[in-house]
Amino acid sequence: MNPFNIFINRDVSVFTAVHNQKRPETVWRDGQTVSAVLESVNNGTASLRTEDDVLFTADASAIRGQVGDNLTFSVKRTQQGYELTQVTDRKQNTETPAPRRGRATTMDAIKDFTQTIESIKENNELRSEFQQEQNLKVARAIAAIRRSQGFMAATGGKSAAAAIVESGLDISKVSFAAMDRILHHVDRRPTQPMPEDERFFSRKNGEAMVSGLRNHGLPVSERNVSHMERAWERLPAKMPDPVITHLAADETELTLDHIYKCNYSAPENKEPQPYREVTADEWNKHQIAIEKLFIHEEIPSTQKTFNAARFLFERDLPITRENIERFIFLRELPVSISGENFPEAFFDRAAAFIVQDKPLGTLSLPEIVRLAETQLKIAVQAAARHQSIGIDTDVMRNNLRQLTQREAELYLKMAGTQTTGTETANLTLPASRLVSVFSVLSNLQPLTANVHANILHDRTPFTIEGVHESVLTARAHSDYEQNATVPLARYGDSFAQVKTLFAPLLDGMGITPTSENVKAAFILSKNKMDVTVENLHAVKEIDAKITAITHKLHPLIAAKMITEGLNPLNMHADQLLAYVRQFNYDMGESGTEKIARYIHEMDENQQIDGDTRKGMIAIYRMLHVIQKDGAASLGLAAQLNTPITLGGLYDLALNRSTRKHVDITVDDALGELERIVRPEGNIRAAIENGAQRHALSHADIIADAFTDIAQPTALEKLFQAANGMEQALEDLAAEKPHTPTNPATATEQIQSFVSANPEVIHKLQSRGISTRPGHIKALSEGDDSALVNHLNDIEDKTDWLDAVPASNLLSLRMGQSPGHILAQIRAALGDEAIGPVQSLIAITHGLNGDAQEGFSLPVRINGRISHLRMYVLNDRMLTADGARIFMSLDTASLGKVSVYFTWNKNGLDATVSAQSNAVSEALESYEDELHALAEENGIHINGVKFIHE
Amino acid sequence: MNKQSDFFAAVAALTQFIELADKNVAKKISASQQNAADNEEE
Repeated sequence: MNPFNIFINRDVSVFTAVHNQKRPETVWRDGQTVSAVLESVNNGTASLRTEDDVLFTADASAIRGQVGDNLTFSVKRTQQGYELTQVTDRKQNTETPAPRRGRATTMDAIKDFTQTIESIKENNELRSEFQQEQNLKVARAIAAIRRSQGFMAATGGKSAAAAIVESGLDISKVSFAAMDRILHHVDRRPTQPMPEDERFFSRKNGEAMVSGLRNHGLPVSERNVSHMERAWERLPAKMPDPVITHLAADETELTLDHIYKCNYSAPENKEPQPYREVTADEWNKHQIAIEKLFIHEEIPSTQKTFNAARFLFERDLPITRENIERFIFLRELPVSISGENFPEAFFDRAAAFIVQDKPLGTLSLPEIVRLAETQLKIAVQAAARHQSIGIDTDVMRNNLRQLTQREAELYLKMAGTQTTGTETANLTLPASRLVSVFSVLSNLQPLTANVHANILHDRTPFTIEGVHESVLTARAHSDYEQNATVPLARYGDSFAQVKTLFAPLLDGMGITPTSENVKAAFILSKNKMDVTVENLHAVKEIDAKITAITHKLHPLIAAKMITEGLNPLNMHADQLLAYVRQFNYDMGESGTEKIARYIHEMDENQQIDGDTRKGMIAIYRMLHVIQKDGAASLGLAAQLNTPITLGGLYDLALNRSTRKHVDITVDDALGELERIVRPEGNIRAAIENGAQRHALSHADIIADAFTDIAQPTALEKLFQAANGMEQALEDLAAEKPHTPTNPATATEQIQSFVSANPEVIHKLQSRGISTRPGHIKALSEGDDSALVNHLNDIEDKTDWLDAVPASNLLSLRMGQSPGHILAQIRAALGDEAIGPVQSLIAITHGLNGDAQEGFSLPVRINGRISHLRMYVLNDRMLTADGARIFMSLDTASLGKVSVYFTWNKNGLDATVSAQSNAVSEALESYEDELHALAEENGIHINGVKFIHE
Repeated sequence: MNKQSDFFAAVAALTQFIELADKNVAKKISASQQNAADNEEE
């Protein structure tokens, strides 16, 4: 019998014996795998027996494994015989190295060495676990930024841009995170379908699929459509209890695939958990305990939540907020899916996933349901705006209330994703608080007359809760509708009618019957109070404040307040409004700035003539004065009983400046407005007597409202109207035009975020710098260093250039603005460097006009041109107390050195950060010099710390 | 009340400080390099 050749791992092995007379050719086929047991190893020869009893020996060095191992070989039939290749099981291989000889042992040694190195590395890694954790955090943050960018790219259509413009925020100041949040709430208006799309309309949800694809810029192809259809088919039609039990018990994200799989794998009628039906009696006994638990967990006590609790209880699942929410979501899922807005939301997200190349199975159903509801909400609000449509508003209001709550939760969740771990743990508690804020708020409209009276008489505190209580009391007394402060059309109660009643009365009192005044008079009469100037002002103020709160307390703001530990419900209205104003200011929505920008824009487009321009600037300046000095002008107007019109204010502003009718006494010691003396009497005393106090804060609100509506079109209209100047500010403020101004800029903005390097965004975020486009641009590599590079390139050629960056530091020390210095550089360089200088100026300008918030400047450090960058971290002007500043400088020997300093009355606290410990120590050794240099510059340093990155 | 120019002066002072440290460190580095070079020659 000729031994049949068997090649093990390409080495010839010896085929020795066959039990049961079996030969390889009788049992092995080309391409199959056989398993063999390594029976023994003797004198370097391994004996193997296959599962089909073929016995053969091979050189032990060719076999990887130990005696007793079950090895697997793939079989290949060749002309010479059978070629067996060992299929390595990686685990077995590394854990059980086969005995080797000769060269193999050298290899082993090398391998051992490598392993040692690896383990040393591992130890090092363990030691720097903290570092690793940091790296992981950075990686996660960057991944999150990438996701947001993907989302922005997907939603960055025209409607998204328009929505951002409508949001009223200053686009150049919107941060990356804020943009992400806004885009998550964009009203996606369907784009016009193309004629060729209509072929899909006959299919189920055809229009929703087409609009989803179109909105995300995807081709409407058979492939995409059927891809989405397949995903749709996986939606559950029903949710049987066992499936809900299964899904409620785990913590996996409720994705399309996960729910689909559970729906098919869970046995239809069998409960997987220990199930024990609770009788009604038994359940009633637990009622109180459950209720206590609800209060503790801040779960609202409703029939729905009780049912959910019972379901969980019967299945021995923990009754937690999350589980209850999960259960309710799952139970209602089939209903949500059959909802009108669901297909649109579903295919929209699906298209977004296709854009991002994500599998549709990972679509999060809770997210889609929320999106559908948000869209419904927008539709409800739009319908409410068109009052001509006869809708039962009570039902609508109820729906809206629930939706607002959901939206609020969503905002809080979003806020939660941005906070660190420890904060997230605390977030479940305020979530319900946020929900209650908005359920109360949505209950406030329409107001009732008794609200104003109660607040005026100090019967209720001026808080949301207080106002809410008054509204509830009025409802309980069933005089709600009668006293509601909006005219009810069905009773023939129109505003015109109310106006005809009160206008003559007001006229007789010398009060202009503006809509606000008429409404206030109406409220007073309902409360059987005298219609006096004081009372009118008081009511108007209260009314304006409540309206301002209901309109301006955006869920985003409320979420932030709650995470800061504030409760909007029992904060005084003034505090609340002050917070909202500060928030909007931080977001770039400060009143007068906006007008200034519009004037500038219209100027550039040559849309206005000289006179109009002057007039607009006058308004701008006037509003600035009104906001700045506590609305003294309006206080004057109130005292003089003149209607608060722009014209009237013009006169007053004029009076104030020329002192024709008004005498302003300025206390020289303080340099502040001490008192205003008017021929008829002392206004300051009058202001102090109360009525004017109201007028002043009311004026503040009016000025606020006015700047809200101040858009080029509105301002233009104002000047074109014959007596526009005499139109009361209140009426102007009542008109709220909602015309998006410049969606193109918003689109650009979205694009700039999408294309930004995620690491740059993360770097800004981790340093607490606002991620507005200007900052991102400034920090992006190779952008603002263009000038420095250019200067380095040409510096050998031109002697005079030396002087420019060298003197920059001196100029800066002398208090010259970076913008001015850059202009000088530009002048010195002539045409040659116009490009790089321009771009740097643009960057510095982008950081805010006069470089009050940041700049980027080339300076000469030890003969080398380096880059000096500075950012104001907390969005405060440089002149404000408590400003935080971050600066960084590239150096030849120290690398990049960053300084972070805070500024207050007493001086400066600085933290100097270097890239390594050695550099940090070197810097620290010159601390005395730092103090000396600072004193030379007239700066006192309180304390300085030296750290390294 | 802080003035904007005070800030720039502060930034300038900090920049000067970094420049000074950079200069001294550069000197030390070149001195040690010189030493190393001298040692090699010896």
